[in-house]
Formats: sequence, C-alpha cells, structure tokens
Amino acid sequence: MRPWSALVRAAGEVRAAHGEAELMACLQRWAGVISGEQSQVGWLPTAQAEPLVRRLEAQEAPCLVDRAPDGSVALGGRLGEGQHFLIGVQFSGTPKGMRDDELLVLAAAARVALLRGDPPDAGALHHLMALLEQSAAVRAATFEADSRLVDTLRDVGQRLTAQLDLDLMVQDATDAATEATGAQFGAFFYNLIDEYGESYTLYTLSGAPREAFAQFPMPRNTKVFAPTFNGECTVRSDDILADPRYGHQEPHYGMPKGHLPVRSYLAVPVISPTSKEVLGGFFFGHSAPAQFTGGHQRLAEGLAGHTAIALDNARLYARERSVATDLQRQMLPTFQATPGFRTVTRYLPAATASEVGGDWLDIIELSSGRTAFVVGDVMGRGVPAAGTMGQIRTAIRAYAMLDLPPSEVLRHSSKLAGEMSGRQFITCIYAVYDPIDQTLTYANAGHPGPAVIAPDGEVSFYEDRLGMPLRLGESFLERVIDFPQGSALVLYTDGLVERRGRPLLDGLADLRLALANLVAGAEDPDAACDEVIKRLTGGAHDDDVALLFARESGEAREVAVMPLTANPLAAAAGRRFAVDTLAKWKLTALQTNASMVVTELVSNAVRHTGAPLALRLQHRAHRLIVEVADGDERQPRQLRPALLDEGHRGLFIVNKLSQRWGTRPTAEGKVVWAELATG
Amino acid sequence: MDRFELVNVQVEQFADPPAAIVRVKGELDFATTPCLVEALAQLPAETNLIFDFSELHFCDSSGLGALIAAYKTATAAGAKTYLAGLTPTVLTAVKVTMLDELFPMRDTAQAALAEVSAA
Repeated sequence: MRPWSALVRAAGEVRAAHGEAELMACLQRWAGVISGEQSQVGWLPTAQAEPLVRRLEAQEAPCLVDRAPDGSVALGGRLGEGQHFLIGVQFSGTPKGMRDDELLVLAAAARVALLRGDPPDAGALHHLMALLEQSAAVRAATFEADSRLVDTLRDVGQRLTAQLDLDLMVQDATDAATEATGAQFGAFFYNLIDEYGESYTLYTLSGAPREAFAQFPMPRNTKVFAPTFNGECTVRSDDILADPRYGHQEPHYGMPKGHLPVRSYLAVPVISPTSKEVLGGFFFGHSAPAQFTGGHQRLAEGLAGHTAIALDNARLYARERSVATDLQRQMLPTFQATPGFRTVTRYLPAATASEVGGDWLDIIELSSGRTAFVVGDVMGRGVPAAGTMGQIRTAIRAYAMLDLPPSEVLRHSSKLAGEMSGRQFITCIYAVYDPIDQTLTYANAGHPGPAVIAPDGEVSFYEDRLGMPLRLGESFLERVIDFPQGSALVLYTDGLVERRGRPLLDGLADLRLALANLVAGAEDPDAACDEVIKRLTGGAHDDDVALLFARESGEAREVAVMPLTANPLAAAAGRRFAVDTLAKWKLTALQTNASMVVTELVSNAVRHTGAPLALRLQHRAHRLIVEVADGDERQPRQLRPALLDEGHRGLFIVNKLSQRWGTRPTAEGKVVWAELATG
Repeated sequence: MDRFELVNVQVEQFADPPAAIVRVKGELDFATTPCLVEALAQLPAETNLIFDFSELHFCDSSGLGALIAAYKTATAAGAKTYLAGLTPTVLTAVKVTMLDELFPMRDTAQAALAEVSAA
C-alpha cells in the first residue's frame, strides 16, 4: 500500500516551505508516480470550475474527483466558508489514469497543503481524517482482493506452467478458472494442430458433466463468440440473453435447446504470447444474472494469460518431443535378420524422463561374412542429442563401409564428432565378428564394456574401457576376444545398469546374474532380453535403455584356406585349390567364375605386392567369398580398360564376375575380397 | 609344377598369304603367358594369326592382354587375327572383357584358315 498519510504530510510541508508553485510541481510528480504517466497539473479554468464549486458547496465531503469526457480529471476541495480549490489533471497517456480513490487522496493532500498556515480548522481536520480512513479502507479492500487475485494467479500459474501434459494442464486451468470466477460451469475450447498441420478443436469442462455438452456442435463464430475466437477482447455480460449480440445465428438463434441455462456470461480469449495466435478461449456461465464482477474478469484474464503461456510451452514441448522421437525413430534402423546370428535389439526411452535420449544400436554387415555390432550413447536429451546421435551413427556406418578396423572407425568418428556442433560426450563400442577366425575385435570409446556369453553359458564382462569418449579420444586400442560358434555378444547402454539408488557394481552383478540365468541358452532370446531389462530396471528406468543381443547361430558355413607364396605359379595353385574345394562343396557351377576371380586376385597379390599371404574361400548363405590377404597396405584401383589396352583387365574381370568386391586394411596389410552368388 | 607343365604353344606357319595357326594347350595366366608372347615374337608382323584354343582351358587377363598386343601388331601390318575353338571357360573370359567385339571367332582353326586363304 502506498503511504498516503506521508504523502499528505509532505504536501503540507512543501507548500509551507516553498509556496504554491512548488506544491503544484509536487502534485504533478506524484500524479505521475501514481499513474505512471507524464501528466499536466494546473488550476482549473473558471468555466469548468463553476459546476464543481456548486457540487462542493452541496456536498458533505470536503474533496471531490471529477472526470471530464475528454479524460481530464478535476480534483477539488473546500478550504473554508465560501473558499474552494480546483486542480485540473490532464493525463498524457491512456485515459484510464489513476483510480478514483488514488485521485481522492491526491485531492486531500492538496487540500491539507492549502489549509496549512491558516488558523487550525477542527472541522477540516476531522473531514481529512475521515477521508483518509475512507481511502485507506478502499485501498485495503482493493489490496486484499488484489492479493487474493495475485495468490490465485500465482498458484495456478505455477501449476500450469510446470505442467507439460497438455490434457492435464487444460483441465487444471479450466477447473481453477471456473472456481475462481464463481461460475456454475466453465469450458475451455482450444485449437491444436494435428500431424498433417490441420487445426482441430478440443474442449474441457468444469462444473458440468461432459454429457451436458456432448450433443452440441462446437461453438461457431457467432456474434457472441467472435470476440473470443478472434482474440479481440473479453466479453462480460450480466445477462447474455439481453445482449444485442445474442440470438442472431441460424439455426438455434441463441443457445441450442437443452443447453445449460446461462444469464451471466464471461468469455476470455487465450492468446499465445509468442505467436499471437488465438489458442482458444475460456467461457464461464451462470444461470443467475450479474454474477461476474470486474474482479472475476481480471482473474479470468490473468488465468487466461497463464494458460496461454502453459499451452505455448506444452505445444512447443510436444513439438520438440515429437521431433526428437521422430528423429530417433528415423535414425534407428529396423534391423534385418543378420546372417549367422540370432539377434535381439531393444531401445526403451526413459520411462521417467520427458525427452528421448541419444542411445543407438547398429548392426552392419561387412565384407567376407563379418559383422559389426555397434552401441553408443550421446549424453544429453531431446533434439540435440537425437541429432548428434544420427550424425555419429551415420559416420560410423560410413567408416564401417570402408571396412576400417575398429580402432580406426572410432578414431575417425571421434575426429568428426569434434568438428560437429554440440559438446556432448559420445561413448561407443564398435565390435567386429570374424567368422573365419571366430573372434570378436572391438574398440571402446568410454562405453560400458561388452558382455560375452560363452557357448557353455559362462558370462564374461570386458570392462576395460579402451579409450576416451568420442570428441575427446585421439586413439583407440583394439582388443581381440575368442568368439567360438554359439557365443553371444551383449552390448548395452548405462541405463540398463545405472539406476538411482543402486551402485554401478551392483547393477553389473545383477546383469551378470540375469544374463547367466535368463539369456544363456534361452530358446526365446527376445523374451529373455525383455525379462533382463525388466529385472534390472524394475520397469522404471530413469535413463534410456538400449540392449543388443547377438548369438552366433552356428549357421552352416564352409571355410578353406590355402597359404600363398610369392611365386608366379601361385595363381594356378590357387585356381586348382578353388576348383577342388568347390567340387567338395558341390558348387561346380561356380568353378569357372571362381577360378577367374581367384587367378586375378592372387596374380595381383603376387605381382604388385610381392607378399601374398593366404587365399581363403568361404561358403555361407548363398555366397562364396574369395579373399586374398597380402602384406601390403596399398589399395588396388580398378581402372576401366579401353578395348585395346593390354593391361588393367584383372579387377575389371573381378568386378564383372562378383556381386561386390572390396578391400579392407588388416594388421599385416590388406585383404582383397570378392563375393560371388551361389545361385 | 612349372609353367611348362601348364602351357604348351605350337605354331604352324603357312604362306601366301602368310598365316600361322597358334595352338595353345593348357592354361594361360601371368605365369604362362610369356611362353605365348615368345612364340608370337618369332612371327613376321604381317602374319595372319589364327589362335587355336580348342585345348586351352583357362585364360586370365594377362593372356587376354597378349592377344590384344598380337592383334595390334597384326592389324598395323594389314593382317587379321582369329580366335578359334574356344572352350566355355575361355569364351567366358573373352565375353566378360568384351573382346568378342574385337576378334572374329570361328569354330575351328581350319575354318579360319580357309577364310584367310580365300581372301
């Protein structure tokens, strides 16, 4: 509350000390302070003063406030028998200006100041006291109403703006507003945009059962509703039936039959503070007339403001969440059956968090029947994490296609991640299964280590984190582990083992137990993996959970290996080896093409590297894979020979006869491989 | 195994017009192709070449390269080059590399020789 008595006292002191001119200057400042505007203050001209003087003489009250149609205000007071003062205040801003009770205090302050110096006037002082008390009472009542309003607004506002669930939020807002306005029932109609960008309207009700409105169509843009749906202004009517805007529209000409009776009507538009679009409107009704006051209107308007913010938040949030989920969904591949493996992949967004995270899984078929398994985790949540995840996942796929060794895949990815926007750490494991060696070679960028379930069911964790997370790591170590037929690899993100209130080691121990008891040898690994996740997270994971299970299915596979020496006859030897092997494998139809491919690959290794190491033939899943390893890391290039070129036909022939071919670096040098379809 | 076990090249020469039937038996790859190249080097450039491949069971890109070299030499001297009696494997190699567009192919060396003599 403003210190009115202090203001009045100060006015007197100013005039006593500085005279009337200074008093007027003070009043002008105070008028400005109270109304927040640059206002002009001066003695009222005689013509305007006369009717006011008559009012002052007739009135009991010592002061008056009079508002002229042009928005100017006159303040006046009796000073003694036949003596009056009248001050005009011209507000420079909006015509609203100060409230009457505030102006009255200003008038009283002026009166006291002007009386000061005169002989004490007991009557005048008495009137002043009465006036101040009256003002104080008005102020106090307004203040109390205001503070109730403020409290209600604050409470509901906090609730609303913290609520991101749209349905709960709008219902809460409707209930709160209906209660605060004293309406018999209230409704909130709001517009939403569906996934096709089309607007549609939903509504919530408070104080009336939904059935009471179920048979009515959505409110249309009638004269009564238009100001609300167009976002023009609040409509408050003591009796809507008597409102000139009411009852014009076909077919009902007013409320449809069976509508709850409404006399008092209050409707407030809800307008987005960011986009300025009309998000919806609150409608309150009461069957008795004149139920809604200016206070109710202010309250409803305040709540509409909060609702608009909350609705904006919820819509933005819903948009962001759906963008992030879409991103995740689009970027997480649907896994095809992986030849030679029984796989299970699970990705569960956090049950308690509100946004998706940046976990991902990947299975990539490499050359020569090898398979890469990837698990990764971008720290953070929402669109940034999902976006980074998508980029880094694609990068790793690309490096995988180049058939780089695991350490190199991570090294390149880390470098690339360092150049991407964002600063999230990214942890990742890249593991390659080689069916010929029956090994798993992996590199780890700060991710929880892989678990391997041996064919006999023994579970091993490889917890040594071989490198820093991507972005930080500059080099990564590789580890090779035996992976005999029937072994299973389990990759996961920390959401599976880290849980609030449970030490990490306990989580790992639980996982080991669950893998040994549930997954090892499970007939139905899908169900087993679901059970593992359920057991470890208790169904309430507070982080995303990603799990990849891959069991070598002991798929029929034939492998034949022949060592090579740097001898011109190596090609012929390899050719014979291929013909014999394919006869054994009952693939005689492939003998011609395989001989040609073997000859060209071995010839190249002998002629161009001088260090041929081995010829490997592999037969699996409708493919014959020819591999020639050598001790030279230089990559061969396929040139397209002109018709009369005498050379450059070797890889051209390989390219023609194989479905695909390529090279991959190895520790010793490289492998050049080609895959031929077996029919 | 040495390269002479893998391949055998016999050349039968004819006059008016100068022609040669080059019989290659066995397999041609980068180890054995030099045998063919040496044999061809003995022939005058203007010799019409008839490669009898009825007993050639394999030919790789080096062998094909030698054929192209021979074709270029012969063509420059106004002579022709024929491939005759191709086995399925060698036919595959020729077709895959599209050399069937370059060389006229005949069922037998005799058919090719008759063609050369009649010209």
